[in-house]
Amino acid sequence: MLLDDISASQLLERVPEPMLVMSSDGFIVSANDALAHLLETDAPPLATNVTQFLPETERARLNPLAWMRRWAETPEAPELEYVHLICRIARGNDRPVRVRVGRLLIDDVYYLVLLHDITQEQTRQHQSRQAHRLAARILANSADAIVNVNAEFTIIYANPSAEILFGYGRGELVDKPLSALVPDRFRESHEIQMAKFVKAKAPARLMGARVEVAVVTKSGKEIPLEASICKVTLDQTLVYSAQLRDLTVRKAAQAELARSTASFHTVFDHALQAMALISPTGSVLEMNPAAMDLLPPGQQVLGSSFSELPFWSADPEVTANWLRDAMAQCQRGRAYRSPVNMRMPDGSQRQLDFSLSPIAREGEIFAMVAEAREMSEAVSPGA
Amino acid sequence: MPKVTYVEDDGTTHEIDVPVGTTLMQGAVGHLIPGIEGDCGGLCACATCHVYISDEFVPLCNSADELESGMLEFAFDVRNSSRLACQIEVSEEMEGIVVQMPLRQY
Ligand code: FES
Repeated sequence: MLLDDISASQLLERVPEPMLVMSSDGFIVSANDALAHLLETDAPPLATNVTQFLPETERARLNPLAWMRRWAETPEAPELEYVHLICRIARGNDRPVRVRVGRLLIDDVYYLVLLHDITQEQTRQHQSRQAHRLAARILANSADAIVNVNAEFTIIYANPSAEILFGYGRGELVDKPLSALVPDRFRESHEIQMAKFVKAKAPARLMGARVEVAVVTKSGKEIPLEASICKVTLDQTLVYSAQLRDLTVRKAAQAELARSTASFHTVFDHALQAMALISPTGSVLEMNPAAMDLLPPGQQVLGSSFSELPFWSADPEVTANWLRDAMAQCQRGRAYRSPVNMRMPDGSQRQLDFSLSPIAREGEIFAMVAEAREMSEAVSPGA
Repeated sequence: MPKVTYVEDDGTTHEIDVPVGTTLMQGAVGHLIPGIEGDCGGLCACATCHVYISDEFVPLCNSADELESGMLEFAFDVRNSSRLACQIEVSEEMEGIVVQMPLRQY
């Protein structure tokens, strides 16, 4: 069939999209069933004005007719991508419609108007925008610094925690090479490592595993970080995402702990009197050299039961009894002190001034200190 | 960087440092502030960056051109103080400006 044989109205009718032809003042001269369907009416709206269903609505200043005439002249207008008109449906509800307009010249000027209901599109867009916003807000509020780089290792995203951590302003990290965050002395090894990481068949090796790295801030300060890196592929686009946590505080705490442990050991190891640190359940946590001298050489002490060590009296039951009482007293927060007969490694007996003191933290006994001194320094029994 | 206060329709405020030379829309979108969409990315083609600028701050802003006034017709609840945030460039003088946002952009 030749196209000429199809009448214009037949053509209009068959178009599955809502469509109408109007005069320049909006008077509808032709409309199709798809438009009737959109408007939920029995027949297409004829001999009526387009403003009947494309009203100004809440947008008081908007003149839909004027805009449609304008779009007929500028079919490429950028706003056509983004804006919509409101279509009033017979039942009184409104639908957003995207509009395309063409100009026809038949004796006079007419306009061909195509309407596209974008309700669903808008709902979907709204949902994906919300999902995106939620994810973006979680990233933005994350206490961990997050830096994403592309396959070329150019930073494509850095969350606010990352910007603060690295000392950069808002958006300043984006488009910078990842190497800008690597200290000079590590740059070469970092590149080699990254190349390996890229090539590795199982990049999951680094995934989730936390590794310690050193980075450099904008001001040139080097800081230790804990990093975990994952590789994400989206539509064949590769993104590496690093989660970074500042270790400065933890490192300082570790150093402080090491320092105080060292000073504790200086005192503990060089004390003349025998000392041992006992757990609340009675096993030996630490023992100083002076105490070790009271035991046979090579005696295993750490983790052993304090009451079963060979320096107690020959009768284990007696020892067990008084030591249990002493420990129970200690558990209640009261120190125990008494002269005790102890057996020396050479088999001789020696009376020593023994004490057991509780160590509490936040009201809880977490260890006991056992000490044994020469009797000459001791308070006399019963004092 | 001038401090800009964005006020949501329900009164929630967001104080943001916005770099000079960027727009009020970029400041809001860059900080994920709800109430401004900026769908067209600042082309003045979507009217989803509609805001209200009260009289006292009007002298600090450039005035709306024809294109912006035209696009504003697509915004909801347009008032005399209506502006499109993507058309207002941030300057040093804007320190302390308050930008009120409408209930919705669509
Ligand atoms: S961002 Fe689209 S008009 Fe302002």
